Amino acid sequence: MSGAVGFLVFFLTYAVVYGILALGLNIQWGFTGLVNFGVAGFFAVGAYIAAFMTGTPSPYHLGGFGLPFPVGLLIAMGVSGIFALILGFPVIRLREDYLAIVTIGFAEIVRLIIVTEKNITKGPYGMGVIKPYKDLVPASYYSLLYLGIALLVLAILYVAMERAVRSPWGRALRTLREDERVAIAFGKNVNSFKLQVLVLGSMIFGLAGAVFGHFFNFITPNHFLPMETFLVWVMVMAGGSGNNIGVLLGALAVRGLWEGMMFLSDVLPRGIQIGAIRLAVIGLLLVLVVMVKPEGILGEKKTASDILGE
Amino acid sequence: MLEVIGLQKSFGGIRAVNGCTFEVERNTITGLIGPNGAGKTTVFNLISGFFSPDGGKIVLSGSRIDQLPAHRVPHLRLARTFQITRELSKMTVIDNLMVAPLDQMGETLFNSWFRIPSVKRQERKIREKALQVLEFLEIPDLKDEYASNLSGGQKKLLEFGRTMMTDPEIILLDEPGAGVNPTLMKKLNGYIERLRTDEGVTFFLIEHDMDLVMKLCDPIIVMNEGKVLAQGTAREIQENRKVLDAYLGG
Repeated sequence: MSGAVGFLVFFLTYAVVYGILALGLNIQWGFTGLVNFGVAGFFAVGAYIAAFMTGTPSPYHLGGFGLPFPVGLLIAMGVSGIFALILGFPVIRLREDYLAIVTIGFAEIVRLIIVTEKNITKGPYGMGVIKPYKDLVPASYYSLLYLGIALLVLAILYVAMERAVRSPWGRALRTLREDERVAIAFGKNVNSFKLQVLVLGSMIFGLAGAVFGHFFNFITPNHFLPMETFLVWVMVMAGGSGNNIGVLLGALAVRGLWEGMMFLSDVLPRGIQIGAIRLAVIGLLLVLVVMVKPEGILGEKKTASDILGE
Repeated sequence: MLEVIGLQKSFGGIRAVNGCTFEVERNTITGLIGPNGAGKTTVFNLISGFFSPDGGKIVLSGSRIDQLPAHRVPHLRLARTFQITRELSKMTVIDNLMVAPLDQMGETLFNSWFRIPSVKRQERKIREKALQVLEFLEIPDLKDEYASNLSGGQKKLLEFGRTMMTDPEIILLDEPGAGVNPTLMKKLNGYIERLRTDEGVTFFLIEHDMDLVMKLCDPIIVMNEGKVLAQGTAREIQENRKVLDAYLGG
């Protein structure tokens, strides 16, 4: 494949990974109002677990167990979910800002464990992740095949999440986001709903991590800095909290802006750091969205449930 | 129907409810009045489980409810409104109503993925019920409006309608008349009366509008400083020396 097409495929696959993350944060923040600042932590857990599960045995890191790719994805989701359950059980009944503090702490703990536990993760040296199904197509077309696999995962997830939220279950989530006391006064077990959503969303972050690892084929703790979490937040807020298509558009737009700004380095005067410009532009975007179109590119759908076919 | 026995609740050094005892008889419209700070809303929050009492008992239809988590209380067929309306602003009027019914099968993740026929059947019933409630409250045209776009009075109606969705035996209304114009208030009175006579619903309401209370409620309970000061018919309360003193600060 030529350079331009190759870049496009790389960009789209990366956008799909972030699209998966955005769908996960949308169920937590967009529909339920849970403030999770630990997206990167679950993302990392998913990436490393999938790498351990599917890799070939090595004395330098945990595993690998040589399991098939889809099994690795499922285990990555499961382990992320278990982490969310352990984390959520004590803190879910606290106020939302405490959840934000706890989750950001969790993400940093995960990253620092990866850095320091070299026997398990190879620490800052990073570890390789296999290319699944790489014998199916000639090597030069592999990235296209993997884009297809990633898109398939995203499509299945999208359908599952749309069906989940456009239901009485989703209506109850919107209710507790709007006013927790009303939800309680009408018999909803608010803590149970919140815990379900924390676990479900975090499983999705784990899935994104696994898809990311097999795409990059090499993961280091530096891929999971707090910045990743905030990029996903911008995607959800800019795209439209509470609208699954909206947050996917947000992921595409923010990722596009992020990659697109690389080309600026050719025109900018020497000495200007593109990394710093990127952050400033993303920050500006967020401010603009909040001021001009607070509901995002696409707002939330008006009717909560489509179960009767509307 | 609802018994409150020796109820106690303190916030820091303030004894908001201090040994409160009364009973709400089945199928009455019982009024709860008293000066500001008498502890009326605290009593409501204790009954509906939002606060847990420091002492005393609350018995609803024969079972103690004072130790139940708040989300279990509605299952004993008690519904409430709030002093300041709590509409779900970014949801439509009909969704505000449809979320209210208890034990909805569709409220599990599993059932939202696998929409078995009985989930849909229940959802259809809930929708019909919501449309009936809007019809009853004479606001059917508002069904697809965002709740945030309603007027203050319409929000009050919506809160009232939401309680109807759960088929309650007892409804607690916290200042249903606050900020409602006289015409709408008259209508609301009519709805309360009709639900009591046609469906046997018991009402327990806090209200500051004395004309309304005297016309609508029998009996009336008067609270002051966290205790019950007096109880009786409208006439008895109006002639009670202690009540006058409490209100006039004598």
